[in-house]
Amino acid sequence: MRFDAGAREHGYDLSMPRSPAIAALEKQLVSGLGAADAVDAFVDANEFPLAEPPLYTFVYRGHADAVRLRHWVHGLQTSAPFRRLDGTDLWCYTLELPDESRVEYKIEVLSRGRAEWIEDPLNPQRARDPFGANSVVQARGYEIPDWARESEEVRPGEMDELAVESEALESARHVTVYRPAEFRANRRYPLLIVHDGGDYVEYAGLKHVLDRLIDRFEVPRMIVALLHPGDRMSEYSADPAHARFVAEELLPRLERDYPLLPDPESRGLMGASLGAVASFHAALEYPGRFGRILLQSGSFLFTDIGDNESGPVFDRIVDMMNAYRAEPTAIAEKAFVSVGVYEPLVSENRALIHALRRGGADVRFVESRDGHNWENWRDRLREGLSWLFPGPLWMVYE
Amino acid sequence: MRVSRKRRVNDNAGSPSRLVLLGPRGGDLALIDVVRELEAGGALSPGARIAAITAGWRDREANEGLINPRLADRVVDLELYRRSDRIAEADAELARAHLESRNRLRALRRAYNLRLHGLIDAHRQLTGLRGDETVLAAEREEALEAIRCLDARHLDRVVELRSEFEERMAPAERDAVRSQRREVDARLDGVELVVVEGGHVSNLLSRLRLFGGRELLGGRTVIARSAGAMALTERIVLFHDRPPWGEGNPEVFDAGLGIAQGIVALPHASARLALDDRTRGARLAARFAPASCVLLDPGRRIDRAGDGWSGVDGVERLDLTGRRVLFRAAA
Repeated sequence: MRFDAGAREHGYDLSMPRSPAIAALEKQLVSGLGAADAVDAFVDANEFPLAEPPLYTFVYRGHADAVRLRHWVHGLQTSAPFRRLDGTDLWCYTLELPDESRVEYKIEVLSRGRAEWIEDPLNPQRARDPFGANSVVQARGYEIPDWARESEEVRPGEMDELAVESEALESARHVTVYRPAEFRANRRYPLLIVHDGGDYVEYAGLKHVLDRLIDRFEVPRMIVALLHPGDRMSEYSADPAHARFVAEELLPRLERDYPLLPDPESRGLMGASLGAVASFHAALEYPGRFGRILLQSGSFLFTDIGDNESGPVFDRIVDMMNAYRAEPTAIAEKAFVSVGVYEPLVSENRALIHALRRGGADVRFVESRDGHNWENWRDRLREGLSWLFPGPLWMVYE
Repeated sequence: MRVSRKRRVNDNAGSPSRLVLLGPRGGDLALIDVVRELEAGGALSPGARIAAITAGWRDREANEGLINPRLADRVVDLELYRRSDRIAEADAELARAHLESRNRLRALRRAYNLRLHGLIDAHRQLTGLRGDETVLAAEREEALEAIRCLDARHLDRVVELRSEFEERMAPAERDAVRSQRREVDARLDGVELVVVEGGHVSNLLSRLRLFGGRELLGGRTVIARSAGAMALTERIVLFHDRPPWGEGNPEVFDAGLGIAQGIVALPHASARLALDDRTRGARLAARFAPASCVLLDPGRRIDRAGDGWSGVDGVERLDLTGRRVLFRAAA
């Protein structure tokens, strides 16, 4: 094969699976048809990444010295070199993906000594996050949940903006409060406090999700407090001042301003990544205060042997998790934990499940074929919220 | 068959002269069309006054936006949900006893569902098992009978617990209830048609009972929609084949008012049931046979005049093989 002859010297991955469609294109090229026309026709006729389940081929077209796939799938090399089809400006990389996978990625283009990470120009699928956006490949069987989409037919909740003074944090904190559609001041509601609430709304569509799940009676009408962190890396990494803010300052303020149910099973904490750590830590510091906890891809680092080598920001977390694993306690009656199997934190989250159960919590644990990203966290919200706060789905027939 | 009959209501006191059960809102069938047809057929006087029971909507009760504006000037909402709140405020002892009774019913429901899950799982596995059919067919039949017995026993127990509450507290004799009932009676004066809307079936049913149940409806013509239709049957079955969690096993919830006999009302059937799963459908139909599992989708309707039911415009039911078949008139 013409490709194999020069592949090794270019650093191409010889174990890369072969896409039948790319092989067919190469045959056309070998037969001497006009390369540019053949590539034009190929690009026009297909959607990318090219799906031939379980194979997915990423394609880049343009002049470059090298092209690489950049992704965050734990266990795979994070930089995978595309190969260029001889005589063309078409680059490709084929990856085998299990059904229902969802992978975010960028394409790295190296040209004239400069490397640039770009979103895939041939793929319109994007996922946004606080750092910008990534391209997305969705394997066979993955679908964006219908309940995650905004719907004009659904009665929307409303948002209030609060400034909550905090002695613990030595400054005021901005908190957005979601009130469900048809909120009544003379009723009482469960409360969910969400770390990184603004990002959950912006990148995981949390408001639409709440509107839809409430409309479908899968969760009850509830008040949701959306936190906006100050110094996130510090406050969310098992900081006692943050836990005090949540339990001793924010909660009483919300209880004063909103009609909330008074029992722990009607109070929940939620967060992703460090936000999950902050949720866990607040529940741990204030046992019996929060009966429901939803933890997504938490950075629950621990060390059974040796010291923490993940950096000083994780020191407090490692100390907390080591102590908790040695002597687990009941931090909440029910805990929902989710993690993507393509993210590096999967082991830490699996380990957490055993500790939570030993501590006496009723735990649901869900793994998904996805990574450490907001849309993964969005996709698990229905399972998590409806399990922690079941709505009147079985009772309502309008 | 060992299904208990003791809860059945045998008298026809309070049975409406004409009963129409509707699926959820939507589809081509509007309430006003049914009202006009009943007027044209002589079941209602032209322009007859209408009482609405919207307690299933809970906080949205009496929301005028949800009542057809072309009927609004003829409709009086009985406001049973709001009235029950007032009763609870005025009679703390009754409210406390009701809460205790509800908690006992919840505990019973939890226990029933645990047992039901095991029995349905056994039946499901037996249904999928291949082997000597002369042995397996009888085993499946017994597994199904075990489910039917549990359903029947649960329903008896629910009725027993509720009766204990009603005998002990005698709600109808209490001042707060009597006062509200008098106001409801006044609103019902001259009413020919009662419309029972859908919503939260448990909330609706408890309000219907608090305000007299079958007596509340009297001999009037009744149109009942969705949860309203469920509340009028002999046995309320809760169902959702695709819940966010769990197996989604249909469960017997409570006895309804027993006015709509011989059917299990399944509103939103196409959205809530996996109708392409014949095994599930067959089990559902067999659990409640000889009652018909009627698929009340949006815009669907069945009528009872005299002793028989008729399905209008292609209403379907599940047969014992789990297929959808036309719901036809039954004596």
